[in-house]
Amino acid sequence: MRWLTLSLFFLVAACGPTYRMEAPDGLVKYDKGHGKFAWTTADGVRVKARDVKNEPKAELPFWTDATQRHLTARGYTKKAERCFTTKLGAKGCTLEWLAPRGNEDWVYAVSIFVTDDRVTLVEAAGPFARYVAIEAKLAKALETFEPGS
Amino acid sequence: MRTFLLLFLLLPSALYAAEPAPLPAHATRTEESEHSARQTAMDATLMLKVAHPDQVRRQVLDLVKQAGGYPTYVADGRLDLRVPPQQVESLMTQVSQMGLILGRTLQRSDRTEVIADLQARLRTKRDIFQRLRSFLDDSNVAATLKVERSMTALVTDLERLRGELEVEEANVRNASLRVSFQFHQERRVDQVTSPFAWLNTLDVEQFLGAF
Repeated sequence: MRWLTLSLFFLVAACGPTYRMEAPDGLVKYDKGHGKFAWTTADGVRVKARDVKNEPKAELPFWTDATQRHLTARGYTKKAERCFTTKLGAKGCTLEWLAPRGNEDWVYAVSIFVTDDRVTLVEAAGPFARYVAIEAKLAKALETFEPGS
Repeated sequence: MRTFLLLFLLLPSALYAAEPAPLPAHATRTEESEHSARQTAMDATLMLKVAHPDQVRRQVLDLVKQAGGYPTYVADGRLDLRVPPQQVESLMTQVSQMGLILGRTLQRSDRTEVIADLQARLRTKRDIFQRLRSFLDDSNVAATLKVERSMTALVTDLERLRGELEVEEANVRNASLRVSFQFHQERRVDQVTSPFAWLNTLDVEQFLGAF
């Protein structure tokens, strides 16, 4: 019984948080069979969620500001910022950036959700024209995002 | 012989008169500055990110044509345009509405002094040229050769000054407007370390690598 309990614990720990989001039009799940929360469009715009530790413990405005300062210092150019509340009441902010990549201009977007000791990041990236084509659909889908537990 | 001596006396003074800022020319320049409007050159840039650059490029070229301007360079990522100065700000506003503005500059420089100075120097050189030509009528071979050498040098100076003046006047007549559609040509991503560890993982390349 003790082995069974331990096995279940590791299984849950290995799986990590269960993110949920209504499927945005034009994007399909791309989990390669290992349960990652990842989506892609046919033309290569990619979306993926991950968790990082909320360390030092801070609220959403702090991390939004810190992200903005860091990416600006790195040479990214801010395209847009949008803060919203999801249908289930989670507060999130999406920061969209322009990033030079080879001979192309890319958009790199980071949506931040803060839940106690976790910060959930939903990152998205794609060449400018392709990203712009799905950005409204993605913004709408993000309003249904659940950071899980 | 008398002509030859006369030339020797006149040439140095004539050439001295060709030096910049001679008194009569300066006086004329001041009068001109007082009586004419300031001559201003405008230089504007616009960095614009759009989803469909081909379509926007065509729209911009149409707008510029309607405004009485013309392109001097057309490429996928950039348009160099010359437009009437009074149309620049209105054009920039219209073009800005076609996409996401990443940078916008508008610089004015007063060229009145430079143009007046070039005009005065050109006038002085022309006067000297006319005087030298009049010496040719009654001079001997040696003097003629000397006068011709001086005239050749003057022609070179005249052409150079005329060119400079034309460029300055063209810059005043038409403002320069550069519209750039490509961000990656202007920027690069640097490695900057944040004290907050996870911020260092925010990067388009890392994101794509881990996808």
